Amino acid sequence: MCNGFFRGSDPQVLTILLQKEEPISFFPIIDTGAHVTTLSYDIAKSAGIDLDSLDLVDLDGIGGKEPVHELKQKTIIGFIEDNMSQQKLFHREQLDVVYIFPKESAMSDSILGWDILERFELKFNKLNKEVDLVRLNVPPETLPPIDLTECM
Amino acid sequence: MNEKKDEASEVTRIRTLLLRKMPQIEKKVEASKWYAENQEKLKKEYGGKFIAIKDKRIESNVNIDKLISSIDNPADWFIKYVHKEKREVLA
Repeated sequence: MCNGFFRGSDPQVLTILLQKEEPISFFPIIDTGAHVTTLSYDIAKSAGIDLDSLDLVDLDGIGGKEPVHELKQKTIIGFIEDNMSQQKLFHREQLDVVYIFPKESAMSDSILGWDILERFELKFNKLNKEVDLVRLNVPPETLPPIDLTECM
Repeated sequence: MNEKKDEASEVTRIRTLLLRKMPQIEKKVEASKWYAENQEKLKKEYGGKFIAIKDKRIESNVNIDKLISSIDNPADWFIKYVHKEKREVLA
């Protein structure tokens, strides 16, 4: 189980983007109204993604169509499970396409959409400001978690 | 056989990268949780006292709620630039 928290009314979870050599840690909003996962411009730049080479496509949103960059490349994002027994696991999820908000977008947060969320059971407890993600046994098959405890 | 070898080397590579970065990640998580838990109190205590974000001066007529919601991770800049007692969290 991976734990998140609420920032105001937004549920968030620590997420790691594995792109090139430097893992990028960030806190996307868990957006159950979004079809796809979309990175903020700043996170994409931090990860060294060359946005100039990416096409812009329109995504349907509540406010109408939103232009976003489309990165057609296998991308690994992951979540850290840190339970009370001191075991730390890194859960990897693969996406074939990731979207990125352009520089001029009003959206400065990254969002986790249903392309990732459908793989998890989501538990929100706003009163206690708790967010839990539990991986479901659904396709795509989960990559084996990486144990981060044995070398620590 | 080759696939297993590739996966093993990929796991080793990711583990090495993450373990190297883990102290920074843990500090970021701690800071963000702290901010999330205390944001209402902090807004009351520091409302109208924000000075700058990443060296850019905040104008006095800026709506702080809108400003906070426009930033990817407010804990980072808030603690670093405003709440000096918590600077060590991100040091």
